[in-house]
This record gives sequence, structure tokens and C-alpha cells, in this order.
Amino acid sequence: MIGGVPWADLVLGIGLLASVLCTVLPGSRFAQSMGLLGLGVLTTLAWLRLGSVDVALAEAGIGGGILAALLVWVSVSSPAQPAPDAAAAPKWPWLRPVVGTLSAIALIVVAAAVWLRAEQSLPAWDAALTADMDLTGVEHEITGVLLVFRFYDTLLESAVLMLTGVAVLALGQGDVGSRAGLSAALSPQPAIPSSLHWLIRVTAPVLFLVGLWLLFAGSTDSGGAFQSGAVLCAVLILLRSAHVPLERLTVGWLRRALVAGVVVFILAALVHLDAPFSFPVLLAVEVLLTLGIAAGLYAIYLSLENPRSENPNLANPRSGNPVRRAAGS
Amino acid sequence: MMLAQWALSMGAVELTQMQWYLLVGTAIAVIGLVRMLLTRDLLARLIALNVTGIGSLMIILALAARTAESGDATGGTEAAGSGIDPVLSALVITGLVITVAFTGLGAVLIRRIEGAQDAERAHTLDDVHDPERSGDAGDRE
Amino acid sequence: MTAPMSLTLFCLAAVVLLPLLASALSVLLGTAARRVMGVITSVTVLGLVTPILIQVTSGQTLELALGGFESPLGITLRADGLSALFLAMTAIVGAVVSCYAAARPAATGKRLVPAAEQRRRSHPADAGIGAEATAHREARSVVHADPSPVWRAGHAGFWPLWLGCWSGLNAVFVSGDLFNTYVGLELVGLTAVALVALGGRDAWPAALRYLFIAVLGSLLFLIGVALIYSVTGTLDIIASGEVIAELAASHDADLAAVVLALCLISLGLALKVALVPLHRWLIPAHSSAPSAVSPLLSALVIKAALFVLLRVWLWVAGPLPELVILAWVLAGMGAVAILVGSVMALRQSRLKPLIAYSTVAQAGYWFLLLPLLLDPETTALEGQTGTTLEDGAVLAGALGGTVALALGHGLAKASLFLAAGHLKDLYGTDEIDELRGAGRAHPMLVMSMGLSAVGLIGLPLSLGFTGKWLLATSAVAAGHYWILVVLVAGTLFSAAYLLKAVAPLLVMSEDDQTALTLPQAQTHPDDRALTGKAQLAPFVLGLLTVLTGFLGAWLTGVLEVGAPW
Repeated sequence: MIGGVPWADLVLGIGLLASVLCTVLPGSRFAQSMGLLGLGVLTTLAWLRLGSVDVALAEAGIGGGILAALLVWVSVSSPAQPAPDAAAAPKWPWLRPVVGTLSAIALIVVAAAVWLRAEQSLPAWDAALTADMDLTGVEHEITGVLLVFRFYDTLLESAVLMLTGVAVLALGQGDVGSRAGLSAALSPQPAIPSSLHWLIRVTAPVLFLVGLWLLFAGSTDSGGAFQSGAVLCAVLILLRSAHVPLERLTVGWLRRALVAGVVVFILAALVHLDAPFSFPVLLAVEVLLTLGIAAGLYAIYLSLENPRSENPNLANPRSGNPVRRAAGS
Repeated sequence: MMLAQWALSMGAVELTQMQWYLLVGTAIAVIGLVRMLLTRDLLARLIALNVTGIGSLMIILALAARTAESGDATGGTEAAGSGIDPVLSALVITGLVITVAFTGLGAVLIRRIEGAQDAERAHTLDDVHDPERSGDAGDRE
Repeated sequence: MTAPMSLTLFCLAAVVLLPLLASALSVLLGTAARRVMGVITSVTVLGLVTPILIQVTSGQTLELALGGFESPLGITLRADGLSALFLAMTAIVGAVVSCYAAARPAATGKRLVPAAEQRRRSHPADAGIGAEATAHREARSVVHADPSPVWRAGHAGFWPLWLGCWSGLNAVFVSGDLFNTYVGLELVGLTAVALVALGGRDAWPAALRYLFIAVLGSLLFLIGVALIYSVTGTLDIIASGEVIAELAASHDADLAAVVLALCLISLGLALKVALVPLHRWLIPAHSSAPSAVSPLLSALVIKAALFVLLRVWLWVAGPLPELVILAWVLAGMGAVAILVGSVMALRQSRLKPLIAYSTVAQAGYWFLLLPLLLDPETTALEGQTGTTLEDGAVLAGALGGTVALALGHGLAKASLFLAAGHLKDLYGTDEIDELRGAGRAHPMLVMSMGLSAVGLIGLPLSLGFTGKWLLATSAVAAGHYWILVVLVAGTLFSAAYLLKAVAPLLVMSEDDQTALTLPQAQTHPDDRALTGKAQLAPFVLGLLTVLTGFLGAWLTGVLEVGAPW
């Protein structure tokens, strides 16, 4: 019907738009986050259609998997929207949706017209990547770009993830020490049915192997540290909900795992500023980085549980007793 | 669909696969953006932000797929993995991870904000201590 | 890059990687060790920036192809005059604020502590891994039965986050690659959001709002970068600029995508700089952040976005005539920002929001040069002289003026926010009316506020004056007289709101009663830092604001290194 677009893409695109609407339109948080989960699945299909297996894997693992799971978790554990203030209630409740729809349609039409015009004038260029691939020691182009040619981007990106872990831990109780921010990790998990329990204990090792395979397959095929880290984080989450005692491991190793990858990556980069990494260094960096990514994502998951709330009467440190404050700092 | 027909009729454009995904990505990004600006619920905003992110990444990956289309004129648009620009793909993976990092921080912030609001409300409503506490209701006193 | 790397090139990479390393390592340390590490790192960064600045001043652009891969594939680090100046300003402000935060840990935020832990251990902060066994027992008791946790002043999470932020800022400043710039901006944005969140419960909503804006701006920037890449086939800043210049020279039809990219990038960065009308997130974020964080946000974090904006407009896009409308829109928003920000600042009754609005107003100045870039002909006074030379002169003057304004704002605003945060911590409030007469008790603080006000208003001798002078002269040379009007109005406005902020603190003898109504100074035995040497930090920055004013000529000279004209 339309030009050169295969029908599969047409269906997928319409499905994508429909699931976007299912995500943004409902009022309930649970429906929205489930919509995002569905959108993640369809997006993964779209990446596959566009021919990028790596991006599809990353989307399935990190975007669709871990992220949507986190958001579903949030929407389940705090489903109620905060009661809107009476003063802030809009005079015409239908106005916002109507304005929103109209402006969205207008923006889409304008943006689409601009895009199509701009796209037609784009010149073609050759990706001159293959010539240098034999220098890298890895065969897969995307891994080559991520870890060899543009390793510096990956370094900063893993630092972003590490600092996210640090930031969410800083939002918990305490600020230094091995268990700061981890109070939620020590609280008991809700009970789950025993059948599910066993299912999880059987699935987890399989997932673990999948994670390892993704890590080492990355040098020759699609996969790599980020996808593998997401799968390993999923293993940890599953084990924790199956009441496997992870507290000691978490308290003792979460922070170290979080920073180890970045530290080793920086040291390797400082040594190799003007020469490519050797393959063993590359492998060590990638393994530690995977652990760091898993640790960062797991820290986010753990921090979603609020610490026990503070006493509002003591919320302001200024109003506290000076003697106790003195002991505090 | 209507959009594509409109584009077809307006510009007499022969849509390619890449242009189709470009349009879909644009629509997704715009819908997410508008929803994000209009909603008041914090989690809905965060989810809309993610939708916007997915749309933007789809635009970029559609641009990446353009190499595959223009690279080999033999009609290899369906070829998986071989033609797509690895640099842009790597950029999309980076963007994906960074979006996840920000969303994670945002989700934790939302939990904290609402936990604090709940605690405040519980304190103003009743000063009686709740004798039983379930596993995840640690945010209530 | 086969020859052994020179020390300066090592500094170029180390200025990004060392703060990041310190940030990662400090996660494993205790409170006191983190403070020591923070100060050592800031001194080291100052030491690393110095050779870069010297080398660039001598007229050489530094380039380092990371991993030995040249630009189409790899990432090139590049330091030209613009980079060196922003690096230096960041190093100075960062080092001074780091010393302040180390001297006064209470200024770094608020942390939630379990009440039980508080009673049992006298030094909970320094408990390392050795105390794990006792800590484990405690944690169990924390879970079961104990009173609610309480907030305490000071958050050692400041150090890893701030050092990471510093690393991101430096990464943006030395980046020679568009996508790398995006990653650097994200590093800055994420840590900035987290730093705001250290301010405790009241700061969390502001932090979340900031997060939404930061991500949205980055996504727009990312789409723009992908578009530029799809036109030019390279992510390198210089190389893509060359390709776009060729396109502009040969056939104009291809430029639609570039114009679209510039629109998206400018919109995204304007969100991050908080250009009116996209400014509303900045006020709660900057005013509810902890005392040691607000100066960093206002002085440094928004400068990263400004730096990228200048890079993209001058180095990547070049003076494309198609961008005229966009340039005028942005400059118009800048002029409105000066007006709106100043009026809103005048209406504030609290010190920190007033200073935050002053940031909004000052940000407007940095966008005024855009129409000058596209229309650099000397249509006015010196029309008869050689045009090519004069083009460069107008551009150099406009860029030099803008950079001087931005750098001067960095120094002055850091000092002003430090002093205001210090007063707020001292008296528990930043209501201007309640702080009347505070100048008598704390002359150094109020003097540093006065010095930074001189810099922000742009009185002669300060860096702000130099910037306004340079911008005004090049505006006159290019015939853009409207800039003069905006500059004069902005100066008057800023004098008004800064007078409103500072004058009540200075009320003299006849108002003895008002001085007596000062709220009880909430100094505590452990807070000797509040009255001690920490006050030197804003004073040093205030002095620098004024003393750097004579650097104008040197500054334009440095900017010539690696300039696009």
C-alpha cells in the first residue's frame, strides 16, 4: 500500500504507535508501566527489523527487561497517585488532554515534514571501519567501536552508571561505610509461593550462563558487557526474591564491584593513551565492567525500597539537640 | 498509517523502510514529549520520558539503517547486521544505557519523595504507631 | 602519535581521568579520607591544568588521538583557547569550593542516619570495613525495633559525585568529538542532579524536575548530533565543521538537515543553560541545593552547556546564512532573559532564589553574540578598512566578550552563592529582611558578596566589565546597536537587584535595633568552621572576580588559538 515499506514493518510501526498510546494514555500507574514493558518488546522487534541485533539485545536486556521491571515494581509498590491539591485542580479538566492531543498532532506533522525533507537531502557516505578492524583483536564491529575505537565514550558511560549507583545509595540511610544506603537490602523479602520459588532457583543458573555467554560472545558476535551485566543483574534480583541469602555478598562486595570496573578501565586507559589495548587487558576490563554494570543496576533495584522514614519532628537538623548533633559530626 | 498516507500524498514520497521508522520514531518521541509536559503524576512523567527516549533512539537507528540502504543498491534492506552503521549502533547502545541510568535515579527519587509524603501524611493524620509492619511498607511509621 | 607522548598531552587526558579515578576510589573511603582525597585531587587538577594553559597560551592547540586511532574512527581530545580558559576557570572555582566543602562538611548536604547507630558509635562516619561484624549486628537491630532515623548535616556522598561532575566538566571542555561531548554532558547532568538531591527531603522534588529537564535536553542534543553525523559522516568537531563548510560552499540544498540539527541542539542546550522561557527548573534546583553545591551548579554546570553551544555554533556550523532566524530567536530570548530574570530577582525576598534568578538574567548575555556571528561585516564606523581582517576582529571581540562574561560570572556567582549559603547555614534562614546587619558580625562574608556584586554588575576593573566592553565594541563595529541598549539595561537591572540583596546586610549604626533582631546565630561547638577559615573561600573568589578584569587583552589573545576564523 505504501511505497517500499514491507508490510511487516507497517504492522510493527502501527503496533508501536498503539502501544505508545497504551503507555501514555491510562491513568493508572500499573497500566502505564505494563504498557512500557510491551513497548520495550515491540521496540526490540523494531531493532531486529532494522538489522541491529546488538541494539535489540541491549534493549531487551536493559531497556525492556531491567528498566521496565523496575518501573512495574515502583508502580506496584506505590500505586496511588498523590492526591492532587484542591487548589491546583484545573478549571476545565478536558482542556489539557485536548491541547495536548492537538499540539502533539501539529508537532508530529511539522516534524515529519521537516524530517522527510531533510532526509532526502542527506548525502551518502561510506563507513570506513572495516579497514581498521584487524587491529582490534575483536571481530565484531560494534564491540570494536565500543571497546576499542571509542573506548573513552564507554569509559565515561560506565562512569555514569557507577555514579548512578553511588547517587541512589546516597539517597538511602547513612553516607559512608560498607552498608550505607543498603538498609533495604537487609530487610526481609515478602513470601512467594513455593512453586515459583523453585522455578526461580532453576531459572537463575540458566540465566547466569546466558549472561556469561553474552559477555564472551561479544568479541565475535552480538553481545557485550552491557547486555551481559543486565542479565546478571536479573539473576541477582531473582535470587533475592527467592530468599537466597545475598546480604553478606551485597554488603561486602556491592561497592567494590561498582567501582572496580571503572578503576581498572581508567588505569588501563592512562597506560594506553596513545596505543590500542592488548587483548588480555581488554578482556579483563570487559569482565570487571560487566560486574560493575550488574552492581550498578542491582543498587538501583535495592534502593527502590525506601529506608524507614525519618521522624518529621527531627527533619531539620537545626532543630535537633545540639549535644546530639555534636556527637554526630 | 494516516500519517504515512498524508506524507505520501503531500510530498509524493516513495517511503522506504528507513523513512517509515523515522516517522514512527518521530511520532513516538513527540507523543512522549507532550505527555511528559502535560502530566502531573511523577511516575507518568518518568515513563513518558522513557517513551521519548525510545523515539529518539529509533530516529537515530533509522539514520543508521540508511547506510545499509544506500550502501548496497542491490536491495539489501532486510540484511541483518551486515549493513547497519556500527558507529551509530554503538551510540544507540550508549544512549540506551545512559537513559536507563537516569531513569533509575528518577525512580528512586520518586520513591523517596512519595515515601516522605506518605510519612508526613501518616504523622498528621494519626500519631498512633502502627503495631504491624509488612515487608515493603518500611516507609510508613 | 608514535613519538613518546609529551607531558602536556598526558595532562590533557589526566584532567578527565584522574578526578574520575578519585571519584571511584573515594566510594570506598570514610568521611575524613574522602575530604583529604577531595582536596588532594583539586590541587592535582590545578597542577594538571597549568601546563595545558601555558602550552595553549604559547599558541599551540593540543590534540591527542586516544588509543592511537585518528578522528574518523577514534576520539580526539583537543584543547584550544576556549577549552583552556574554561578548564582554568573550572579548576579555580572547583578547587576553592572543594577546600570550602572540606573545611565545612556540614555544607555538603543532609544525610539520614539510623538513630540506633547514632547512640552506639561515637564516630559512625569513620567506620570502615573492619567494623563489619558489629555493623551487621546493628543492622539487624535496625530492622527490628528502634526509633526513626534522623537527619544530620553533612553528606560524604558529595565527594564522589562532585569529583565525577568535575571529570565530566573537563571531559566536555577537552572533547573534540560530538558524541563524546554528549556523554560528558550526561556525566555532568547526572551528578548535578544527584548533588542537588543531597540537600535532603526538600531538595528531592527540585532534583527530580532537574532530571527531567537534563534528560530532555540531552535527547534533543543527541538527535542533533546523529543528524550531523548522518550528513557529514564524522563525529569529529573540526572535521564535521569542514564538511559542512564544503556543503555550504557547493550546494545549499543539503543544509536543511544541518539547520534542523542546529535547532535541536540549540533547544536542548538552551534547556540546560536555563534560557528564558525554559528557566523555571533552575530556581528550585539551585536554591534548594546544599551550600557547597549551589556555587558549583551556577558557576560551572550550566557553563558546560554554554561551552558546547559556542563550540557547535562557531566550530561546527560556522556562519551559515540559513541560521539567521534561529540566531535572532535565541538572542531575543537572551534579551528577554535579562529582563525577566532581573525583574523576578527584584521580587524575591530570600537570598538564594534571588541569586538563582540573577543566574537566569546573566545567562541572557551569553546568547547576544549569535546574530553577530552571522553578520560580522563592519557596516558601521570602520567600513572602509579591509573586510576580512575586520570580520575576524568582530567575531573575536564578540566571542571574547561572551567568554569573559561567562568566566566572570563563574567566579562571581560561585563567591556569591558560597557567601549566601554560608549566611543561611549560620542563621538558619536566608530571608533578606531577617539578615539585616549581618555585615557587622561577618564583614568578610559581606565584603566578598560586595566584590562579586561588582563583578556581576560589570563595574570597571572586573571581568564582567571587560566582557561587556568587548561585546559592546564589536556590536558597534558591526552596527548592532541594540546590543548596547540590552547591555545598559542589564547593567542597571543587575545593580538594582544586587543592591537589594547586599545593602540590607550592611545597614549601619542608626539601625541598631534591626541589627539586634538578627536571628540567634546557630553556631555550635562543632561548627567552628562556620566562623573560621571557610569564610576565606568566597572572599578569594570575590577578589579574583575583580582582579582578573585586566586580563581582557590576554583573554582575546588566548581565544585566537584554534579559533575557527
